[in-house]
Amino acid sequence: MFVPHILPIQTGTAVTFPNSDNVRHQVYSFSAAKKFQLPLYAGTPAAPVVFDKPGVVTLGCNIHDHMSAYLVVVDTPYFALTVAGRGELSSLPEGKYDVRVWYAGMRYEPLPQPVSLGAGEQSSLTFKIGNK
Amino acid sequence: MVWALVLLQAATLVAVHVAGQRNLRQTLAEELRVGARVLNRILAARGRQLTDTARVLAADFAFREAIASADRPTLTSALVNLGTRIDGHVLFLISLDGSVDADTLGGHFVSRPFPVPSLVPRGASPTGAAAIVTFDNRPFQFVVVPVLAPQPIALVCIGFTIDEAVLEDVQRLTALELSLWAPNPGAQPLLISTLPQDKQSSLRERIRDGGVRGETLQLGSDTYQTMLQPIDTGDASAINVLLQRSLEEAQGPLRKLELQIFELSGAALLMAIVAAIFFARGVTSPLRRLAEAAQRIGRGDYSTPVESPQDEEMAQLATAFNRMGTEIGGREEQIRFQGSHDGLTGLPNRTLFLDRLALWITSAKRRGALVGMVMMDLDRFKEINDTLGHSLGDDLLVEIGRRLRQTIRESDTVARLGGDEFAVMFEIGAAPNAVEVAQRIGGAFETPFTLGGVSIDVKASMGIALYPPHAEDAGTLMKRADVAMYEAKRSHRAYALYEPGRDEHSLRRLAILSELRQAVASDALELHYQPKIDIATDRAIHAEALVRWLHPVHGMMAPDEFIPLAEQSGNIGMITKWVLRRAIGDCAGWNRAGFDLGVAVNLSALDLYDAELPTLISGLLHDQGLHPSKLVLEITESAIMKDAAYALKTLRDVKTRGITLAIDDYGTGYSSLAHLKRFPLDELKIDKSFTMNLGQGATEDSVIVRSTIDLGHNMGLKVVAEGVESASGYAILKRFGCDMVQGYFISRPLPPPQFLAWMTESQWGLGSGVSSSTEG
Repeated sequence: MFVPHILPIQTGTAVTFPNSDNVRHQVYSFSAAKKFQLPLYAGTPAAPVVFDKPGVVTLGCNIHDHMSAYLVVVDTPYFALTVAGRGELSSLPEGKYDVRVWYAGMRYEPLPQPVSLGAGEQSSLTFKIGNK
Repeated sequence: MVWALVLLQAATLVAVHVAGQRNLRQTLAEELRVGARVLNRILAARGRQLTDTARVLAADFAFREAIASADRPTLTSALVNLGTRIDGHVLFLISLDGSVDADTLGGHFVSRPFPVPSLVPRGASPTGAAAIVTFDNRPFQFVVVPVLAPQPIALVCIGFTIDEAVLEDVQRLTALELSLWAPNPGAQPLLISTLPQDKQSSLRERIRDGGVRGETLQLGSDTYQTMLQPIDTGDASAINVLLQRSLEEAQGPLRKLELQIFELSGAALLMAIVAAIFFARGVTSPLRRLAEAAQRIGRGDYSTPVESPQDEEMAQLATAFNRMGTEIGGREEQIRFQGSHDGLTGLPNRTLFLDRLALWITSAKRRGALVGMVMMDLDRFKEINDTLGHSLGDDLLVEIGRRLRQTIRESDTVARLGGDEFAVMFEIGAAPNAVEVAQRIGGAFETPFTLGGVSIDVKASMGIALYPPHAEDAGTLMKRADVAMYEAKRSHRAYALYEPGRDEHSLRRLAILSELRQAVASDALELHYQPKIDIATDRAIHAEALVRWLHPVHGMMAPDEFIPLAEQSGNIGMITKWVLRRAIGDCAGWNRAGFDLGVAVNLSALDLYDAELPTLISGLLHDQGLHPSKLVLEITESAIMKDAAYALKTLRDVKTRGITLAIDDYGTGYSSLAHLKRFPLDELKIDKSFTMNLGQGATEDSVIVRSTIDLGHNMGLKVVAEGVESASGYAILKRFGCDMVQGYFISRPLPPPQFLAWMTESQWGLGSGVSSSTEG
């Protein structure tokens, strides 16, 4: 099991994949954003993996087909993982922004919604997601 | 019967064949159905197996890496490699949107939609999907599995051609021929088949010509039972599998069975024929022999028995048959015996006696010997029979038969001719010996017979006749013996030897009888009248009518000569009636002519039994106009006594009609006074034997006459004396008080003209119509 299942990171973040299972895993990704492999290992691999391109990196384990996770590499520091369908972006400087959503199994990205934030302003956006 | 068996066997064979065929068809149909199921199962299993293999191969990391590289040549080579590993024939790499990213067909399908779109969504599931499709005009099994990294990044489709191997798999399991075809519009239908090549071409032709429907298919020389199974395809293309089973092949075991049955029935038939032969020997020929024996018995041969056959039941039948033959023979013998022997005494009967007599005569003729016969009948047998009763009378006959049999010699024959007549035939050396024989036979009757506790004397009258002196043949001999017997009877002798000439007497008697009938019919008889005188008045008051016959040959015949004959032969009635008619007629004539006369007519005993007679007489009297009181009927004493009761009845009847009755020949019969008292008589005529000699010193006669006259008077009867022949007799009778007299003294019987003349002229006559005047 990959924990968490979905991890948003900013471009350039180095991620480590500690294996706390008592079995070895071999982590891989064929995603265009980052193709990499961590050969069969236990414990912590030597070097973390730096994700320097934005995009979705699908992780899998070669041995265990059911293991999958998503690293969503974004170019912005402003991102959040929803919990129960709610996410919060805070400490945004005022200005105009485009809010985008991503979810696993998404076929087409929903249209980004622009938002304009004044100082200390709060805004709420709703995205409808589903299979098209 | 053998033919019945043959027909039965044939019918059995036909039935077996028909049932077998039907069963076969059903079995084959079932086999085909099973075959179809096996085919589907195999195809499905193949699909699953291929899918599983594809999944495993598609999970290969390096393969997944290659697919993820998005490098077209790499993709194609990875596909090709996979194809090699799995032995697939055509592979596609399909992107998730359903278009082909790479193929092993030279990139022909790249960037185009996958040919079987329906497989895409199904193939994206982790288990993958498989379907049979038509691709490149050929049947393929397409297997689609996802490439997971770890989420599906692409689909791989591997296509495996369906070739004979698949069908052969099914064939191995089901022993069916399978043919799969995908109809190609406008081209030869693609055919994959387990059939041999020549059959495949035929099938291809058939498919092209119009498809293969129905259950029976003829390919070449073979007939197949078929089943068409359409295949479920993933792309809705038409693929059909024809499952078929050769009938000839399938019929193999059935044929064997039929052959066995044929052989069995043949054997059974043979056994039946053999059994029939044995049966014929055991039953048919014995039956035939019995039939022949039956025919023999029918012809009268009772002596040849049937030989006993082997079989117990047939032997029983033969025994019963032989017994029957013997019994029939016995019965025939019995019947023949009864036909020739008397039932009561067991003696030979008349027929046998005559036959034997004829034989003896023939034999005696050759040897110059004498054959004699005795004809005998028992005296007064009727009385004996009446006295003893018929049962004892029969016993007597049996006893007589027995005694006679004992009396005669071995070689002689005694027979019962019937009734109380017996006959004996014997052979003798000389005529005088015949008398000895008769005497010896007579000895059988010496001792009295004891029957029913009664001792009876029986005597026989015997007549003896001899061959050749008395007759030349058996029939005549018997007749002559009979004549001799009657002679013996007549002369009250025990036996009489035939005297030549006697015969004519009998013959004469027979002739007279027929002539008599003639005479009556032609009025050739005559009546003579003898007057009866009333003594008191000395006048004739009656005339007795006496019948006379003027025979052309024999002359005038007195009643004695023909009346008894007529009585014996029962012909008296006609004479009596003739006499009555004539007498009444004549008397009526006299009365009309002025003579106050009555007429007396004699009746015989037989006439008394004629119940019609009184009526007849009344009729005649009426017709002629004669008063009944003028008619006197004279009946002899013995005639009355024969059957007194019946006579009484008739006489009473006569009396009521006013006719006078007289009892004739009184004193000669066996009457009693009691009888006399009862009868309604008017006159009593004393027999002439008593009156004939009156006046010549016959004292007994006069005593009888006198007392009879008194008796008569005391009983209220008029007394007539017959046969007065002298004046002295007349005087005595007058003195005795007799009422009437009749006799030669007065007149002999006269024919009517002379009678009338006498009446006119005689002193006793009445003159010519004048009464009472007397002359002297």
